[in-house]
Amino acid sequence: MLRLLNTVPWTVPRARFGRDARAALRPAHWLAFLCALVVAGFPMPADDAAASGDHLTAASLLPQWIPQAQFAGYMMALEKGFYADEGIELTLMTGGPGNPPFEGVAQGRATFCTGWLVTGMQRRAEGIPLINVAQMIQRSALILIARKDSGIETPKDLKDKRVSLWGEDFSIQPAAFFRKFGITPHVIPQYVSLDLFFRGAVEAASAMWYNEYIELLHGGFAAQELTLFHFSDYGLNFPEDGIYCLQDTFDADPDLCRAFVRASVKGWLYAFDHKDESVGVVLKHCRKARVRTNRIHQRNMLERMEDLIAPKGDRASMGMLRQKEYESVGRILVELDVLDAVPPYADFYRGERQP
Amino acid sequence: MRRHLGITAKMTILVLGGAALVLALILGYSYRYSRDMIEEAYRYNAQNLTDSMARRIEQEFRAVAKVPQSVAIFLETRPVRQKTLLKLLDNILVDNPELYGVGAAYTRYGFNPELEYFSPHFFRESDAVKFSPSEQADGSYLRTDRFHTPQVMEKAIWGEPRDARNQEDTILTTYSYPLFGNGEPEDAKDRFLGVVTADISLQWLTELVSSVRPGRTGYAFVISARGTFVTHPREELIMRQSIFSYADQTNNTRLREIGHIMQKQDAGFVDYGKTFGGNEAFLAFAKIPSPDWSVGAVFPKAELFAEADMLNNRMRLLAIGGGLLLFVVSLLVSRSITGPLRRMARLAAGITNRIGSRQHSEKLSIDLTDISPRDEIGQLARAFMDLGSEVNRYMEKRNFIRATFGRYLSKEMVTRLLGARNDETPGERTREITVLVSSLRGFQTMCAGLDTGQSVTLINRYLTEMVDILLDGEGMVDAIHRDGLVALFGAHRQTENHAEQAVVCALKMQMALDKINSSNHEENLPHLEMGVAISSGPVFIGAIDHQSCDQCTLNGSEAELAQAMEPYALGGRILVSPSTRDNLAEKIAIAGTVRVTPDGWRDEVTLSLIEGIEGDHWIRLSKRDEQPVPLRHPLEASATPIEGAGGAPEELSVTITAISMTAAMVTASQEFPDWTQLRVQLLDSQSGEPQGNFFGTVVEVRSAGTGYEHQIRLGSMCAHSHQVILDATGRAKAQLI
Repeated sequence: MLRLLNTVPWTVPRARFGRDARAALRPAHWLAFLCALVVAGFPMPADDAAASGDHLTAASLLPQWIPQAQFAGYMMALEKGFYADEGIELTLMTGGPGNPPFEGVAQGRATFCTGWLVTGMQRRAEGIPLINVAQMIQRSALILIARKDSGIETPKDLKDKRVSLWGEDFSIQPAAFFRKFGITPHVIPQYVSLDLFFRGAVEAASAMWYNEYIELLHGGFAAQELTLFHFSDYGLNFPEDGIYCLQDTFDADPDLCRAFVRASVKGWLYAFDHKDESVGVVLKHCRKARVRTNRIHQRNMLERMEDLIAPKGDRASMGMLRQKEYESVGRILVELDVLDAVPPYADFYRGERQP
Repeated sequence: MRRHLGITAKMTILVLGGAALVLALILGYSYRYSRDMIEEAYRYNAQNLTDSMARRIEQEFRAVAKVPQSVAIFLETRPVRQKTLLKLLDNILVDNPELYGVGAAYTRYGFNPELEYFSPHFFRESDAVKFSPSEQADGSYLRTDRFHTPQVMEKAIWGEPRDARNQEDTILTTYSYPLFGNGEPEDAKDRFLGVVTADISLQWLTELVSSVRPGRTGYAFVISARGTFVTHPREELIMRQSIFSYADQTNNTRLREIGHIMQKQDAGFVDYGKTFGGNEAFLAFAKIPSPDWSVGAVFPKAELFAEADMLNNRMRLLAIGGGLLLFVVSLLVSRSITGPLRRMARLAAGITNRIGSRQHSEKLSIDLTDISPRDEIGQLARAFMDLGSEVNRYMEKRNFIRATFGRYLSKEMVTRLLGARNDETPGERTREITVLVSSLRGFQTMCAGLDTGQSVTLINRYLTEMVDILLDGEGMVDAIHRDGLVALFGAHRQTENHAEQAVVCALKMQMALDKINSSNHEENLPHLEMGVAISSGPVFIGAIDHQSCDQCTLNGSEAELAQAMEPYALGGRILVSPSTRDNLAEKIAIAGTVRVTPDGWRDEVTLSLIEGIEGDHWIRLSKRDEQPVPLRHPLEASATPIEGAGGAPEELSVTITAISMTAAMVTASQEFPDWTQLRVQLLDSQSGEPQGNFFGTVVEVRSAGTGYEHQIRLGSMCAHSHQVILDATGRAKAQLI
């Protein structure tokens, strides 16, 4: 884990030194500055090193899944140099099966990771000193999709139906959902794909609104053939993707964390405003990771990400985790015996707060 | 400004338009029919092609499926050691070059109670067979579709195409056959133990499908059960796009429909819409049953219908040529029709102009004999020539009417006579009018002594003058019979002052007669005396025979009264009926009255003698010598009643004892009754030879000794008699003085 910033005793806000600042330094200034360094015998200040481009603060991000538009904001921030503008030399890692994000951060393989709120809360409760520095997805994208031709139109219709569900944290909301409606479907484990749903072996399945649902549409289903149960519509809105790092990382260099969040938010805003360009960048990352996908799928995903990250166009609140929602999620987790106690909000969340 | 097309243009447009429509329909039908035939033929061939491709692919899949089936049967029937199974799988892969990989995967402790995960898998890599136990370590194979789906569905499946794990650009599909029980007695036969899998590379499928080229620019492709492109000429679509995602990306709703059709139907031939190259195409497709995939072949329509299009283009050229020919022919035909029509139109215009002209027209020359009489145009030409003849006859008649009546009737009346249509009944009306009847007193008697030339001169002079006066006074000359005139006032145009107009005309006529007589006297022609009778009242104007225009009859008591009054209208007098008098009571100057019972009248009628009129027209007749002057030497004469005066002696010797220019006292041995019209022959006092004659009407009779003395109102007289009477009157007046 990099601790470069910790060695710099007189760090100044990086926002003061961006590319414009570098451009403002004339050769005469450089000469005088270097002479001063030699005479003083001090090491180069980090900000000035960042300004020179030689000593950016190295950091890494481990997304929780394979490259796709779910992470377009980070890709665009990297692509457009927003991280570098903030003095960060970011390495965007490839996530996915076999590379769990929180473990990656906990083990020091990544400075930051993205992950679900409920997962982060659990890991924090388990003793891993993770903190949330930004909550990007405000609205839950986890849904249950059912075949209308199986007669499923309302939650009650799921009773005794064959429903495939993802395990672990993806099963929390469905469990709460079923308990809420008193439903006991025949649950079948669901893994990576929707193969069982495509083949008609199950009547309903877990899905992400921004991915598997699109996959179904692109696999031949028509929207009107499907019934969607958004958990967020049933009082089970679990904010999902957030940015996490270790408590130590934040304590050592809170500016790094804030700068990373600023650049990431800027990247998301850019992605939302430049979707075609952003999808192109996403596809570049997909090709690099040998992920077979297509433009329309990623485009649709990015459009849905905008709805999830900035619901109803509220860009001002991007990245914030509201205490009320946090505590609501924690209460449900406790009720479902997922957690014994909810980590204090102030300890868990260190990002921007609503005034 | 709206422009009207000629018949030639209309005929040409209609003929060409109709022909073009028919040709277009024929061409369209022919083209549609030929396309349908070609499409039907191609449909058959295309479906055969895709069916045969699907069968070939299906055979490959079935052949591969037999391997896991055989292995599973083997494993289900007896316990197998790990080493044996590995050897078996290795041998299978070596012996089956069409396989890319083969393996078995067991549930936790399914193969051996001491072995948690067991998933041996052999695969090819650079012509070598390799063993991959990687998934075995953490049991992740349990979460793959090739394991989990057969487990849940308890049946064999063909998986969706996927990338080979260790080999780039190699696409695989896996057949997973579920394994139940292991042959041991304590195990339930239906307990799921795992799967036996066989992987095949789809390289052969890509080569097979790409070798099929429907036409020059057509292509074939394969999509999986979820529509994913497994093979396609555009490599960027393979495994990245489904037919549905590509449809969404390109906003091609038809492609999405086709995807659904291919998913749901076993085979078909449909309109593909536009291909990736933007050309219209057909799609033939057939299902590959084992993996539930579909193979499709795209047939560009441009190639299919190339011959039909070429034929259609040639037919269009022929149609255009035919159209031009038709244009020329229709032009000629229409001109052959319109040429004579134009000639007839010009002639008709000439006829119209001539009929409309008031000038005397020459006879029309209409010669259309050069037009063939065999068709309708010829018949029309004949009819037109007949019409011309009729027009000529009409023109002759018109000229005659103008020549004859134009002198006596108003222009308006002549025009009405000429222009009256057969459906008009101008005479059938009752109207308040005034009838004027005039005649020369004794004219017929006097004419007996004149030659024809003198008679014509006399009558023409008289009629011309009188008719002009009547026409100027808005009278309508209803009849002219010899010296007699019947004129109507207010008949052809309703007027309020018809009686006044009639009286004014009568006064002017009497005054005009003085001028005529002056001329007559100079030319030694007879002296004329005219009487005028006028009557007003409602008159039914009978039908005018406007074919001949020579019988304009009036019906009504007032008209009859005017005619009945006429014998009492003696020379120089104007008699008006009571109705006329009442009409003009305040305007006319009445010189006296005459009570008569006209012929045909039961009651006596008082007629008024008019000598002038006042008001708008102030006219008064000059005084004439009314009272006869006694003659010192009476004149000898003979008097003969004119035919029609019943009860009168025939010829008597009479003596004229007194005379003036308007009256004479005649003594006779017998009595001539009142109103007897006499022809008085003057005799030479010496020789007794006839000297001249005059006409007179007895107006009063009284006894005188042994004879009767008659007062006679003088009428017309020959020039000699006029001179004799003039001389005698002069002498008598001189003696009186």
